[in-house]
Amino acid sequence: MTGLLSIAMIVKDEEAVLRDCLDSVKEIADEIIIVDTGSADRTLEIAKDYTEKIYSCSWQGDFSMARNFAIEQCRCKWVLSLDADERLEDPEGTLRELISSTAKEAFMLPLKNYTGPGCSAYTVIGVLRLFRNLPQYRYIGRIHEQVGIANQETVGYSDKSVICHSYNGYYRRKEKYWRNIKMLTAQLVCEPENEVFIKYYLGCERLGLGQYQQAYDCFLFAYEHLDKEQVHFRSSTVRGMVACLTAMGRFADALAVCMKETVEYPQYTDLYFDGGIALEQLEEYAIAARWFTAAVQAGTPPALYQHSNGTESFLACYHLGHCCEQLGSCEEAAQWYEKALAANKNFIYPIYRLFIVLGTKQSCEKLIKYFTEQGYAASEEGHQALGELLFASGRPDLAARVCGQEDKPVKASNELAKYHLYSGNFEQALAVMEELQACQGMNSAALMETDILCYLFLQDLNTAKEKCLNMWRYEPWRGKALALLTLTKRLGGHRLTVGEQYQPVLIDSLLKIIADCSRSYGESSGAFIKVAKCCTDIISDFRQGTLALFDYWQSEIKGIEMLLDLRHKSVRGLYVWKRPGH
Amino acid sequence: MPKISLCMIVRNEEKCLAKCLASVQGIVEEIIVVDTGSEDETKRIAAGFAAKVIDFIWTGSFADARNASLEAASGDWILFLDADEYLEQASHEALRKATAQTDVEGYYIPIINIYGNDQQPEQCRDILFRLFRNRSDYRFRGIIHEQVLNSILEKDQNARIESAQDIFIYHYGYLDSQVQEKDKVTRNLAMLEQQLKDNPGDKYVCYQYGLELYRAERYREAIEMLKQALAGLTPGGPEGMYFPKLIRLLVMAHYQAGSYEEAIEYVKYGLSIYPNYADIYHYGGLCFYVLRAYGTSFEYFMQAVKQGEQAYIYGAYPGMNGYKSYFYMGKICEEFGNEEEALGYYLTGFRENPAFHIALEQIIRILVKGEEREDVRKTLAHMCECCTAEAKYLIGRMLFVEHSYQLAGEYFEEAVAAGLNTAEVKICLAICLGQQDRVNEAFRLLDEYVYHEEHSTRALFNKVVISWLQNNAFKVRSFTESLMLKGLEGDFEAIVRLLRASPKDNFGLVALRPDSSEVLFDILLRAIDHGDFIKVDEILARMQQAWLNTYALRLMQMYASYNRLVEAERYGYICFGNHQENFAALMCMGDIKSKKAEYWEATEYYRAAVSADPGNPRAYIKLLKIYDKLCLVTLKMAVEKHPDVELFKVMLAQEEAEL
Repeated sequence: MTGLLSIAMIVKDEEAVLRDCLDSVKEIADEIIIVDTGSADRTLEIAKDYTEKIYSCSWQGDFSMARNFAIEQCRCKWVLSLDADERLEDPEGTLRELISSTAKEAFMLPLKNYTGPGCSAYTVIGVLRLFRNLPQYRYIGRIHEQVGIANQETVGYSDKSVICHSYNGYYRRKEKYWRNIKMLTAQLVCEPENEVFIKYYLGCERLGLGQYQQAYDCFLFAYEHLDKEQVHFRSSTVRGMVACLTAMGRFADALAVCMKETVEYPQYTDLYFDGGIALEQLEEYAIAARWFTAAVQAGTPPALYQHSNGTESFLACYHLGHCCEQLGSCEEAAQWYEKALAANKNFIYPIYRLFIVLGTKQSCEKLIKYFTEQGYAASEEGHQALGELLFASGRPDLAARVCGQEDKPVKASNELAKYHLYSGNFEQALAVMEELQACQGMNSAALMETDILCYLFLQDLNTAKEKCLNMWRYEPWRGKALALLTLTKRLGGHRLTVGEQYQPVLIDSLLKIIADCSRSYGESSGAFIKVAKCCTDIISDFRQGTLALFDYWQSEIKGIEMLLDLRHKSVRGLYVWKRPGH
Repeated sequence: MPKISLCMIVRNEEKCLAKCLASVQGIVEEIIVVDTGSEDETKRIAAGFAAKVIDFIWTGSFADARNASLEAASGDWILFLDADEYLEQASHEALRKATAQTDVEGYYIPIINIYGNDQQPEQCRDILFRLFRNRSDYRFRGIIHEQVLNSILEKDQNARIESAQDIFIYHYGYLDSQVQEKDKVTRNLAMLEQQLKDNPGDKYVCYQYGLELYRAERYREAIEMLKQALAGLTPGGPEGMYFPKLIRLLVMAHYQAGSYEEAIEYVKYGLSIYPNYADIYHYGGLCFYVLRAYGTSFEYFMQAVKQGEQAYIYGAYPGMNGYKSYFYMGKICEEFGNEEEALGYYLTGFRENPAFHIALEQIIRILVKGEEREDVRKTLAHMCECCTAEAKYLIGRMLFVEHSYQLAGEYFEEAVAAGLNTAEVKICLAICLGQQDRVNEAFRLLDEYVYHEEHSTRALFNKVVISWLQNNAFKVRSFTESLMLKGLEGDFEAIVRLLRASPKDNFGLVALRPDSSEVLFDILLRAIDHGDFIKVDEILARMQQAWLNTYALRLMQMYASYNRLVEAERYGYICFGNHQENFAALMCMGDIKSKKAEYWEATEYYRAAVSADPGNPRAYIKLLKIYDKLCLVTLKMAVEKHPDVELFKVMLAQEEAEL
């Protein structure tokens, strides 16, 4: 044997991801073995930049066979088996040290499986990918193949190095599900003795496709046949079942499974979290809060359990906040939201609730200061969220300030233009739009609309009209253009007959303008009120429009009631009076 | 039959001693009075009750003095009373029974503290260790708030200590008059400081010291002391007798010190031990009220009024499980603009305790604002049927403050007819009569005081105002001459000049101090009540702009409440010129716009009000109401524009029925 570590990979059409993968291992590996099963793209070209040990092997419909072929080419003492869409992260550079001074036969490494865009949505599970290069260690199973090691005592676990599986877009994932289902079904025929495992994997694939009942049946079979000692598979099966039941709206059943299995696996955080979710759906907030608290207390579960990132911290905290809110203790809710944000600033949802809860007590100015100091709005998304919230709170001036903060280069956006517009800073709004236009052209309906509205508020009806007619020329924006033109005309005292097919768009667009106008701020309120009143006038010409307008007022009422509920729920009778239904 | 010795220590107690000693006649066999240096009739009074009087040179320690009385006692039981306490007559039998028990070493006895002002005293029940067997081992310790119980328990940890719930001692030493007389708080503080030096770490002394610090309004120090008292203490055991009060005091001290969150921590702790302690619920409610968590606050007050009879060891304050909590429930309703509900709670509180005047004030304020005069009259008559002259005056006064002069006048007249004959009632009545153009009657009343040493200026000034309201420039001139002859203070002279000024008089613009401004507002409101808006305009035209800026909000609200929307708006804009985010001004402007049916504009102002003070529910409530209006407007427009659509008619009818 020469060298310490071989990387063994099988690839097919991986040009999009291969370079990332190989970059992540080129320093640490003594050799890289790549077995190609028939790529038609630039995969081999890329591979050649990293290694000469490239082999070709015709695809037999069996992953194990291909992998074992790759392992057989390895010449080093240890083998790390990687997929092309994975990367190895070894931040402390300790992996080589680990394997050069151990008596273990193999190691499980955490596999982070990204389940969404961004860096916090992932699950973690320990996988056996690093093992001594010995003939008895070979893959078995056609798909979701595993290396068999009889003596579990000789398997170590290290969380210093992590394998990261990159997030695939929706369509890529969907394709894979179908491919896998086909292969698994084939495997089931040839390996009936592995039915339990195969059914589990089938469950996973069907869950991914949203076929919940079928997925549940698969998981249930695995669940009934797996031994309790097979923690690795069985715990994942349990979660799969719970996920299916929750998705099907069978919350009580999901909860029952969680209750039973938390007794079996008291360390399995995710089950407490799932139970909390089910209880939340059942509107049992006090009990749900207890389950989420249990999830936080349980912490990160041992490596054997498939673990969704955050169920032990920010996700649980977020849901605890929600439960507290429902229970009428909003101070506590705020504390949980703060904890969630402290645990993971990239998970921005708590920002919305925290802002609303605190906003029933503190002024917007104070909230901005607080959110900035805490760094909650540091990320791009956080920034945008804060802007949205301030606008919704009727302070577009502050929203504009947040979006155009001094320490960051002002990024022109349609939102910023809108915030300026409804603060009555028409000049600035126009300036932002000019900048946008310069870099991207008038290529969005929203931008055009903001532009036209600006001229309407400035009472420059002629320019507005021209711009409406210009917008009209783009087929997909015709409805919107017509709505704005109708508004322009009506402001000038003229009526425009609107064809029936455009009515829904017209009503929608004008309602949106009414809503935005009612969030305006500052000296120019007269201009906004004038336009908004004109919108109501137009909308009420239509039967459907009147109903939509009525609904709009009702939704405003609901919104205010929601805010009052946050702090005063137990005196609801003082502000929620019976209103007619419609 | 066991013999009872009454033991007391006294000094200069001639005013109360007889009452105390008389209350134990026939039940105690022996009276021991230790006198620590009286210079009045105390000793003679004691001797008159055949007491054994012992002269004792004050050592600075109450315990020493008390123990001297124990040394002299020969009975089987010791009953201890202070000179400002007395035993309820009905308790004699119970006392006999208690001392007949063979296996009890001592009793806690309910003390009913009477405190507050002498006219409307309040009661607070407490329970103290005051009855115990006469044994030489049982001696007092501590300089003040001395305790004997510890020495009993040291002797025998399992000694049976009971509470005698049917014996009552009344203690009136905390009545305001008594407290002032003796300057008790200062005296007690000094002594307790000494006692704490002698017994550092004594929990009970810490508690008592904390209590005195609280009475002296030194809340931060009180908190520190009370925390020391609480540290390491458990609810059970002999300390159990003051443990609940200690927790309540910690809550109260934090509340007074403005540390509401900490107060709430103690509320929760207290309720975890004493889940039916009404006082704690009440103070919890107060904390949440100040924090404007009205929902939670309401729940706490609701819990407070649900609690029944309070245990003795709670030392329950009156009204906590009743009228005082109802009062705040009413306040909360008003925070949501729901005066009707509020009225209900104020009435409940008032019915429970007719001496609870603040509730009546609220009731009158709401009634006067919303109801026709005749209805107010009926409601009030129904509420307070059996009124004394003083009560009539009181109600009159409340109406008077709310500028309901005619009704107030009726009550004042009844008060006078019922024999009340003070300058206050007569001058107030004169003012009310003046408002109704009953000038001669008013003048007749005022003339009684024109030469009166104390009231002459006020009487004369009101003659000026009444003449001014009558447009009688001649009389105004002549009365003001007499007033000015007295030599008037600057601001007051300015007001007088405003009243006597004729349109062509030119004496420069006027500004007034805050207190004088109140006088002027009173005049303006009387003019408005009299229907003289022009007079108001004339006066305001002579005020400096700076003064108008300062009082713009008041003026806006004044005009708005009388539906003079144009003027109200004008002052509103002056208001916003000064500070844009004034919640009250924004709300008032919203109301004005709403009255003018400019609903969109109203929402703008109410939204700005929400933004200015997001914790105040009132602006949200106003928005809800405006959106209801906008729904109605939408439906009305719909019925007009789409007369063929039946649905809109139905919806409109429904919506109208709801509003």
